[in-house]
Amino acid sequence: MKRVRIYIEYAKNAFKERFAFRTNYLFRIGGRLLFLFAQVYIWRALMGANGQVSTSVGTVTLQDMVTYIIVSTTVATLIGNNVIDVIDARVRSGEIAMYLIRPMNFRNMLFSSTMGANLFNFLFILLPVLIFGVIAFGFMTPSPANAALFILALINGIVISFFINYAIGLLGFLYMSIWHFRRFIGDLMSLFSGSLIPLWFFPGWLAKVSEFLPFPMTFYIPIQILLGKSDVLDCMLLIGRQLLWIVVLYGVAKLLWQGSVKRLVIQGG
Amino acid sequence: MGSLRLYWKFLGVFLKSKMEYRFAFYSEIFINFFSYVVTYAGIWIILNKFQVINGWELWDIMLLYNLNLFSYGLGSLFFFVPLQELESMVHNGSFDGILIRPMNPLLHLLASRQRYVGFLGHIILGTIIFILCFARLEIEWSFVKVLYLLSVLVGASFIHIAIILFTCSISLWLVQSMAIRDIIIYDTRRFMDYPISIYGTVIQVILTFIIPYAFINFYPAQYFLGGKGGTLFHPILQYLTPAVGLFLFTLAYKFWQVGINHYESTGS
Repeated sequence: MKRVRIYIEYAKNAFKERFAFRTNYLFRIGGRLLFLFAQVYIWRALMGANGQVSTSVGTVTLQDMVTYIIVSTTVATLIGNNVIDVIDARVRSGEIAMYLIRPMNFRNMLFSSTMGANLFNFLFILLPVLIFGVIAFGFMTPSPANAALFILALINGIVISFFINYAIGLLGFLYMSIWHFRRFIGDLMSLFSGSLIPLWFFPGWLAKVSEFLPFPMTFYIPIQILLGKSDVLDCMLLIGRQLLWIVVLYGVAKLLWQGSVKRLVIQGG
Repeated sequence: MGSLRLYWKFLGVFLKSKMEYRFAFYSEIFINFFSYVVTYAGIWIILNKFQVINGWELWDIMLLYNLNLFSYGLGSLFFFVPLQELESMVHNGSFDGILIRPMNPLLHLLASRQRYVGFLGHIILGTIIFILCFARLEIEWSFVKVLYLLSVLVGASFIHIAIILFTCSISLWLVQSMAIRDIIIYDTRRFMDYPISIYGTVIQVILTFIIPYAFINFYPAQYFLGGKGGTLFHPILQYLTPAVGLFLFTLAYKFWQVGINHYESTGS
C-alpha cells in the first residue's frame, strides 16, 4: 500500500510539472486544432459529394471519419508519451544509477509519471480540443456499450504505447544513440497505428501485415470499437488481442531490463 | 564576399569531420529518407482507395507533395539546424560570440553551427519521386518549363528559408519563441500536404498572402499540371514562386538585421 502511495506522488509530480509550462500548452492546443482542421477538410474532399465509401468494415460515412479524426487527434495526447526522452536523459546524466538503488520499480515509476502527465493532457488539451471539435464539426454519439468498451480498449492502447516506448528507451542503456531507431519505430507507428489513416482503407495485403504489429492496437482498434464497426463479440476478441500484446510487450521489456541493467553495471554508471 | 568564402571553408571542415563517423552520417540520411517513404506510402494508401481528391490524382498529389519536400530539404540543409540553435544561444549568451567576429553574423552562425546532413535524405528521395512523377505525368516539356522548374525549386527553398529565418529571429526579441516557431513551421505546413483548393477561403488567403506556403507547391504545381485546382485569386500566381521566394528572403533577412541591432545580450 505504501508503494502505491509513492507512485501516486510521482504521478502528482508529473502533473504539476506540466502545469509549470502553461503557455506551452496553449500553443499545443492551437497546434492540435490546426491539425484537426486540416484533417477534416482533407476527408471532406476525399469523401466527395456522396459522403460515404465502402470498406472492409462496411460503409464508412463522412460523419464516421470526422468522429474518427476528432477522437484520434485528441487521444493522441494520451497515447503519446515522453518515456524515451526521460530514460535517455537519465542514462546520459548517469542519474539512472540513483533509480537503481531506490526500493522502487523504475518501470512503475515511469508509468505513474506518464499517467500524471496524461491526466494533465486529458484535462487541459484533450477536453478543450474535443469540445471545440464536436461543436465545429459534429460527432457521432456512440452507444453506451461501445463507449464503455472504447474506454477499456483506450486504456489498453495507452499501456501498449507505454511498453513500446519503454522498451525502445531501454535500448538506450545498450546503445548511446537510439534516436534513429526511435524515429524508425515512430514512423512505422504513425502509419500502422491508424492515427492518421484508419486501417480499413488499407489494401488487403497491407492490412494483413498490420495484424502482426502492435501499432494498430493503440489508435485504430479503440476507435473502431467506439464507432461500432464490430459487434460486441468481435470487440471482446479485439480487446483480448490487446491483452495478449500487453503480455508479450511486458515480457520483452522485462527481458530488456534484465539484460540492460547487467550491461549498465559493467559500464560502472 | 570574404564572408562567403569563409563560409565554404567552414562547410568543408564540417563535412570532413562528419565523414569521420560514416555510420552516423548515413543513418541520418537514411532515417529521413525512410520517414518520407512512409509519408508517401500514406498518400498512396489514401489515393489507392479514393482515386481522386478534388480532381487531383495520385501522381498529381505526389508532385504537389514533392515540390514541398524537395525544397524544404534543400533550404533546410543549410539553414534549419543552425537557426534552431539560435534560441538556446541567445539564452546562454554564446550568440554574443557570433557578433564580435569580423564575419557576416548570419553566415557565421550558419557555418559554425552546421552539424546535420539528414536533409540530404529529403533531397535524395525528392529527386527519385520527381523522376517517377515526370515519368507518369504527361507534361510536355520545353526549355522554358525546365528552366522554370529549376527556378521554382530555388524560389520555394527560399520561401522555406525565409520562414525559418523569420520565426527563429523572433528569439532575438523573445527568448522563448520555440512554440510560435513550431506552430508556423510544422502545424501550418501540414495544410500543404493536399491542394489548398480543398480548404475554405480564409485558409486559402492565409496560405497565399500571410504565410505564403502555397507558392511552394500549390501554385507551381498548377503551372505544370495545366491549371489543375481551378483559379484561386488570379492565374498569375502560378508564375510567382521565384519572385515570392526572393522577396520573402530579403524581407526575412531585413527582419534578422533589425533583430540583431535590437539584440541585447542576456548578459550571462
